[in-house]
Amino acid sequence: MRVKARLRTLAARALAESMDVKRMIHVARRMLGNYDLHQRTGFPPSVPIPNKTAARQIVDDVADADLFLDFVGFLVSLERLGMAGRRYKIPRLNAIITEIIDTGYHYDDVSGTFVEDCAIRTTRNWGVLREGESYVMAFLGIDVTGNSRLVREYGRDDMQRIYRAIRSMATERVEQRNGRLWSWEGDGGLYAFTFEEQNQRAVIAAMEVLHEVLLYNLAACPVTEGVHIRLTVHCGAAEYRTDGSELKGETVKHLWEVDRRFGKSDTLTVSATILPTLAPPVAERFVRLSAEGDGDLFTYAVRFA
Amino acid sequence: MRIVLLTDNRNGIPAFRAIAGSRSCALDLRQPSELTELLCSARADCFVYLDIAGLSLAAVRSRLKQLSRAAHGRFGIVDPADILQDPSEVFHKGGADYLGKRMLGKPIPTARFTRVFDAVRAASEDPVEPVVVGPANLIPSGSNWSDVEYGKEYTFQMLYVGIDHAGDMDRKVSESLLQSLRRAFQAVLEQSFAGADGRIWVWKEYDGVLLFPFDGSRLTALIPAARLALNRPLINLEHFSGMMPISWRMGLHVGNTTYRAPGETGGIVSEALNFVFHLGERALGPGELGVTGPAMAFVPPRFRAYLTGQTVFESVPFSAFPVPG
Repeated sequence: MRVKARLRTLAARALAESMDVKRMIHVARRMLGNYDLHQRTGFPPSVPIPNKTAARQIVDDVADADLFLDFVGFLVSLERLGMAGRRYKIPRLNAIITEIIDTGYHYDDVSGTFVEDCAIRTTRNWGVLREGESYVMAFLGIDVTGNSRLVREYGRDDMQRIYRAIRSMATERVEQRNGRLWSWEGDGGLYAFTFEEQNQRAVIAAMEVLHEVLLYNLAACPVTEGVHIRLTVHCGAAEYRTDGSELKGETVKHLWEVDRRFGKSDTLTVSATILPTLAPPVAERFVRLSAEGDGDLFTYAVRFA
Repeated sequence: MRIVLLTDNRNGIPAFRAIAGSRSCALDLRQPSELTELLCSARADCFVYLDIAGLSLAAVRSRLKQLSRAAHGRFGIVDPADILQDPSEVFHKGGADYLGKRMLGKPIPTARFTRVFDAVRAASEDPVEPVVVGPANLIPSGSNWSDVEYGKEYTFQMLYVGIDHAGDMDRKVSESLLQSLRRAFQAVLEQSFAGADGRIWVWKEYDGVLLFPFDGSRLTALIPAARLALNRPLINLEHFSGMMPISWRMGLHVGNTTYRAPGETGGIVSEALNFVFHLGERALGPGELGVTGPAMAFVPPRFRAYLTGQTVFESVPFSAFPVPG
């Protein structure tokens, strides 16, 4: 994120007015690790650094390290929760947050960070995930069943049009819930969710995708027999990589393994780690699927009373 | 076609063996105890054969009722012990095949199954003759609101929407919560039907009618209405979680009325508007989406297969999209 001069100035003032240099260094080290303010400002160690100079230098350094959003998130937590037993009143914090929101981010209470507002911008890492860092994420895998047969019977062009329609339906439902499309290849794809209630958002999106495909089959699908999909949701740690190599990580591998071995047509399968994190009205719609050696799995399909 | 044979017999039914080598049909053997689960997830290209050996006549009739509701026209009965004295019962309940003791004595040729499935397919693809009881005078309003003139009569799509168990809520919930709930529900309706150009036209306390332009061919309110029925638990969680879970019923009709702006509808005399209110208030069950005969004419054929249990209310037939469990 490019931090404008006005926002840097606001943040530097807020920092300078809320704490002394010693505490500022502590905040900077939380962001940047071994941080030497004297070396950064050029002041000899024996000379005290003025508050404003220290604050400006720290803000510039966190902004240059692309940690500005984390830094403001940390200021929010200093005001709400405090540090080392003391709470800090951060002046101009609302103005800083408003400026950040105007640039297309919103504050995620649970993770305590800013994430991009998908109504304004959608990037693969929500604008905040860092290369090589590990995050707890929920993944939703979508796979069209009987792809080879469908292509043989109805032709590649028609099926590609249908798959594009499914991809667009699924992506819309996922992005409504702040999920991201991480990969799509032909007849299926992988969506990622992180931050607040990621499991529930992934499952709700998946259930809605299942409903959408049913309605698509009833009203719009050019193939009379309709298209049928398998959905799987699993969560776990995943290391974020811009080159997409996290798609080969253990969590994603396990998801596709569950999909391959236990996935059923027109059914959403979730792993045992997902179910307890769902709200009861959603969780109670799943039925247990016996899955020897792989822990319990639970499935949801549209059931008419 | 995928054939699911529900039988207690571990080796399956020998007469079905010919299917195993068939390219056009796939045979899937299941336990009869899986019937309910299977019917919940059964697809339109799936044909169910139920082996009723060992069942009492009452149990058979109960299964027939279940099959009739969930797999109308796509099921057959395997009766190795000739339990059913009158096999036509199967067909009266919407079954498409009956295999008695005599038939099961030797392998059944695949061609016979193919004949059954062809007939099933043909029946499902045959356009159901719509029961058009109105509007007697079709005056399509056009595909959007721009051509609709104030005070003139047109044919519209009318969707009744009513919150279920309103009487209970009145007693149990505070007025301020009810107000928030009504506002939130109306916001959900506006958002859900915006794509179909729907307007909340008349709204009483707990129910009302949304009006949609009608071009004479497309029932644009149908899919958003079905989506609203299917997504009810998700909507409750995402929109009403701070309040209380609710359910709603809907009735989709096509009828004529004079157009007036929302809020100025008090003086309108419209048989169709009256009817759709009566339908919603008296005939629809909780969570149901009813589609009336006049609207049925414009329902896509594959969707029509999901509308079951035709009933007549005030001389107008209507069918219902099943309530998702």
